[in-house]
Amino acid sequence: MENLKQQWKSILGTTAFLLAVCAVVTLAVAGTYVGTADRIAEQERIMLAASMGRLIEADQYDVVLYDAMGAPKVYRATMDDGTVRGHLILTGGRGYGGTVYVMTGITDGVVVGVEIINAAGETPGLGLNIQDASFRAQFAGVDGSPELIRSGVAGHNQIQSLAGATVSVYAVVLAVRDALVVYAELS
Amino acid sequence: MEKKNGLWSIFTRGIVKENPVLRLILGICPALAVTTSAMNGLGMGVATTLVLMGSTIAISLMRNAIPDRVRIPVFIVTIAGFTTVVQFLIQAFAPALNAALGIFLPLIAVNCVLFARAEMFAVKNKVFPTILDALGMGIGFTAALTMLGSIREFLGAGSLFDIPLTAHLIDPMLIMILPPGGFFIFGLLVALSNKLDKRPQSERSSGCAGCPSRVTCKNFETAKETAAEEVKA
Repeated sequence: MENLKQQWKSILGTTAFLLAVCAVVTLAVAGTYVGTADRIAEQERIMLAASMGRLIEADQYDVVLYDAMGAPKVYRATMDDGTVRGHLILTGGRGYGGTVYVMTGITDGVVVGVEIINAAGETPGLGLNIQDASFRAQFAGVDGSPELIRSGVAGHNQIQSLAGATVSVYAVVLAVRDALVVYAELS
Repeated sequence: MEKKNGLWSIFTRGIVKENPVLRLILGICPALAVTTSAMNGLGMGVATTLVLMGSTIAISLMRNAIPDRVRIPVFIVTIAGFTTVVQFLIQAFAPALNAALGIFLPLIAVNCVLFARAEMFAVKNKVFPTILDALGMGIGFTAALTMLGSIREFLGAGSLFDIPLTAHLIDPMLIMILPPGGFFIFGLLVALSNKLDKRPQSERSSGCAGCPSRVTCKNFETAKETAAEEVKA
């Protein structure tokens, strides 16, 4: 009887300790989240604005289309005098470790450039090389569905793959294709 | 003086003699996955060292309260919580660092170097030696990853810390940055560190005496006695 009581005590004590540790850690994580969420969102907004500025310089960026989840999908870049400089379309493609988000700048049906907005799941040194300017530059001038090639010299509307990073590269190509489709529906 | 030596050896142990990657063969997943360049190896090493120090200090402070039966869950929760907090802070205050470390940060939560140090050292030792142990192990981990990354980047991309060296002279061996190259270079480095181990072969290969972790292992002394008795008989 005494033995059983002791056993119960030890089980309850152990459980209580584990519960306490979990509670403290949860509070710490939740506290940090609440404290930093606004700042993180602000940082992401600044990064996005910088990407849009690099693609198409304009005075104002207005959201003209939202996706099914209610997040901004298409921005229209306009100058103060009302001239439309182009559209910025945020699309995604399935990469190696989650969705790769790409912003495509399109002016008069021609891609002027792409920016990788989020590729957190891609491998540094391999897949993450899609962020390199030399790779992204290939998309400038594309006016039809881009095609991925693995060897030879890339021609018009063709994108030369990066060795060891085919999945990540394909994600970007898919995202740009999608952006062109969205653009066609828009106009 | 003797005490000072003891602390010093706790610190240096992790760097060479008990290097977590090359001697203890711990934390191999991140060591192979992220060492595609020297910079990545260094970044992962530094981030791991910071979380390692934080979580082992917390565990060392709790060491007398942690019930033996639930110590592993307590370690997991502490380490994962610490990793998440550090991740939020880096995202909020150092977005440039976050862009560079991206995938490494969540990987730290499952790095077994952290569990090993918590189980083998932090839970049995006071805070100060724990800090030294974590720092030494962290430096050893960082050094091994940077070395692995440097060799792979040099052979696989022809550059070092993103500075092109031979990239324009000869075609780099891309396979060195791909997973097979990681295993290959890792194997060679482990072989090299075994070669540099001065202890005689007999001492290294037999049971507990050959284990690089024997200094912190509570079973080692008893195992040695058993072995001695066996020899006598």
